[in-house]
Amino acid sequence: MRRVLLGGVTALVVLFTVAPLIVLVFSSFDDGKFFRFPPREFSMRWFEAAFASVEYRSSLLNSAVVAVVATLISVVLGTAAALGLQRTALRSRAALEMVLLAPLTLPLVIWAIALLQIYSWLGVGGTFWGLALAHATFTLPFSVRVMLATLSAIEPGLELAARSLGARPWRAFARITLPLALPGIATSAALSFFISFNDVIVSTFIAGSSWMTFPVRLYSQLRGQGIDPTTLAIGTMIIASILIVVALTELFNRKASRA
Amino acid sequence: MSAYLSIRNVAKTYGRSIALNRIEMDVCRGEFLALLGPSGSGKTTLLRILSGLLDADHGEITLEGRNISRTPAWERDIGLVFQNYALFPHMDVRTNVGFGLEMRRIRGSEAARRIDEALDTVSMLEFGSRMPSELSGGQQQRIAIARAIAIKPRLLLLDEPLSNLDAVLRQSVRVELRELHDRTGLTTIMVTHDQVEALTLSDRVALMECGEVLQIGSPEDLYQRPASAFAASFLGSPPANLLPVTPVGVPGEFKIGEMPWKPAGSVAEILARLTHPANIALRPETLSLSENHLPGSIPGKLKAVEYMGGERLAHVEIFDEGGPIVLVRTAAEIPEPGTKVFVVPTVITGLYDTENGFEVCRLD
Amino acid sequence: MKRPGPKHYLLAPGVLLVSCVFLAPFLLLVVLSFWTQPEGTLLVEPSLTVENYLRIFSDPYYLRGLARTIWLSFATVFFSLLLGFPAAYWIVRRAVRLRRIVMALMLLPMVCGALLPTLGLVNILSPLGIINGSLKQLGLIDRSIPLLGTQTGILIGLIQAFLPLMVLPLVAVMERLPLALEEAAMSLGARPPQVWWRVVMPLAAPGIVAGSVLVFCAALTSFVTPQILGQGKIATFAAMTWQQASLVLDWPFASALAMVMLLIMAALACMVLGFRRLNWVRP
Repeated sequence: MRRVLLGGVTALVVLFTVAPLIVLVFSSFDDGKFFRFPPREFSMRWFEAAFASVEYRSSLLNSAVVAVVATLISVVLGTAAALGLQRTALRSRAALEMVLLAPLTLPLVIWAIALLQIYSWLGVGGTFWGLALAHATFTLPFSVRVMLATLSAIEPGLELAARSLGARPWRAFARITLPLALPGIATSAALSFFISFNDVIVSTFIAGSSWMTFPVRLYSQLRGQGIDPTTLAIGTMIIASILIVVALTELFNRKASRA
Repeated sequence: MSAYLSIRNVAKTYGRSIALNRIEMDVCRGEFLALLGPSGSGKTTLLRILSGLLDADHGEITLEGRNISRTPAWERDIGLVFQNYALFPHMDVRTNVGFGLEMRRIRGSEAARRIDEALDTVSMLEFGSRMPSELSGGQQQRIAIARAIAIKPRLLLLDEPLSNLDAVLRQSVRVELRELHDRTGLTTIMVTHDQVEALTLSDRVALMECGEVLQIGSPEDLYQRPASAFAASFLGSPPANLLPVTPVGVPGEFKIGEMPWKPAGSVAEILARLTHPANIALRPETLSLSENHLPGSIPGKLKAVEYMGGERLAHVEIFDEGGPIVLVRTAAEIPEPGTKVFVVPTVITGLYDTENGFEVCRLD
Repeated sequence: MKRPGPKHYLLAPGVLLVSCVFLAPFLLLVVLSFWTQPEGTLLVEPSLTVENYLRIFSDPYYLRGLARTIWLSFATVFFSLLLGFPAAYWIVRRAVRLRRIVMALMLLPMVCGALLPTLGLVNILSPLGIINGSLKQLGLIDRSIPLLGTQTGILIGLIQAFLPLMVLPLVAVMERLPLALEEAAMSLGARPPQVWWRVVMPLAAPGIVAGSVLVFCAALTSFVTPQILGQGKIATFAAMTWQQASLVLDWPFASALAMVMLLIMAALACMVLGFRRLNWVRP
């Protein structure tokens, strides 16, 4: 009885967490201009509309470019910081870790309000680089955490063994630690990319009309006119690409752990 | 006489692997029984089934004449001392010990008296207000025992009670555990993989392997008359030598492997009963070494000698190069390695079927 | 003085980025909230006045918004705990093969951002949506129950968005609890509810506290979900802040509003530090 109850609550939690996404996917195939339940005809028209729309395409492209740059910065700095943390004495380590993970613990809305004002004084408000730097900052802690977990799972003796066999430190790192850390790097890149790509909280404050990302456009549209079914189709494609990337990294990780 | 605890036909499988295969066992009131076996032998599974934390697939467990097979753990009144003690880290010692009483709605002075009593039994009366993290491993174990006996259990179960203690402490706790048992008179079942613990502590030992009880008996019984080749090769340090012996058809003459051997004395008398090939068990401490050929001795070459303090352990390669190694434990002087020696058997510990490992005939 | 070790160059870029781009703005926010912006202009004047704060605490609009937001945040914490605790227990103790999948699904909303799930929720909660649609199909109701634009709708959205923030720390803490503790309690006579109440819950307290704080702070500062599910009819405090910053463009006042949220969270953090002694699990 108790087991059933516990399992039931868990099923409810899982359902609750994923139901909106499932409904989003489901309703993007509905023919109607307004979603209604029970659904009407199956149709791909919103997907056709999504591919035909120029405005959506440009905002999606903006999102992707920002996300790629933010991901590059986040993964490179995050990996370096995790390596540094791993080799730092315990006392200063806790403080440094707290600084690096701060964007995870402090609310982004409050930060965004301050950033908005600073950016406008510096004249980078609404620019590509301002946005990319902000995205790199709040995705950095994800990279740091993933890389810390990855690095701590690597036997520290391995690199020392390589050095004892005559490899210089840099070469030992490149031949031993880096290949073993690749799955972690892939995971943090995927995480950073999608978190940046889907961000609305920070972007809606600091992204102006000059570099409008897809979530910002969608948010202002939702407040104004309600749901355009075309965006449901785009949402479905975003979710599909997330799932594909997750499956690919999983596959890659398994391969790497078997090798 | 009906048993205090009886286990009938208890079996448990995990998927396709058999954890327990039709266990039958009786335990008397006040007895100290050890379940001894290597890891994976099913001893812990049996203990968990007894405690009610695990359900058997079928079979029946009767305690004091009452079938408890379907009774949940919290209604069994069975004290369980965990390998890692499992003290509640957020409660002080007294609350830990009183937890079982609290669950039985025993409160106030009655509870306080019984907590004192339990703590006194393990000589930890003055540690009542400590937190578990402030105690050493040995002290934590005492509290775990006090917690289990405070509920006045009908059965006390100990899961590897000495495995988390250092070697020095282990010996003194061993003595204390036995004293505690004698004082409280609690029927106790202990799970252990350590034969010394089992032999020194318990009234009877149940030797388990692959989900079966191979032999159950007093420590002396088990050691001197192992009922199977497994028992002979599990007990003793080092365990018994097992040698394949074949009667050649001529009375009094045998082969060890392919080499002829003519035993003498009581060994010959026992082997006279042998009609088929068998493995004979020879305990290292019952063998002696001689530099001359004596009647019934086996020729060999001394390969190595280990000094064990007081005694020496000789590795003898019998017959030729590549022959089986026989271990001899002796306090006597031993020649240099490389010398030709003779191994003199005086006692046979057991005769076992070469196929199933069980006794060919009972030796008395 | 020890020379900075050769490893510091690895840490410097990351720490510098977070310090300059993330932490420094927080400090500036304190200053900015005391500045003013004269009515009708978009020019910010450096000053040191508590005018912004007085305006927040004298205007019933903001006070009511604050009370509503705090109430919603507490309700979110309550329901997340109610659902999240049994789920976390199940994940730790019962899930064997499903565990990886369930944990991955818990991370999904984080990766999807705030908008995509909200988009789906609109279709679930709307008058023609799944909830009302199926209730009508079953003949339980004739007219749609209003869910969008109500506090209930917002609450459902907040729980949906932040439930993983409760589950993940609970799982992290419960994972470190040896099963033997629960078994010991059972062997001593504790029934399953007593095992939960006396052993699992107290030992999971650090996770409960951590999860509750995370969910509370997230709910307190969320504005995307409440704004869309509330259809602009119900303003939460963070949404008011967003309006001031993005629509009214009164940045000093928005800063003061943000500071109020930050202070509430700081007060909460101080209370939580008092709970530190509950943390038995770590040595």
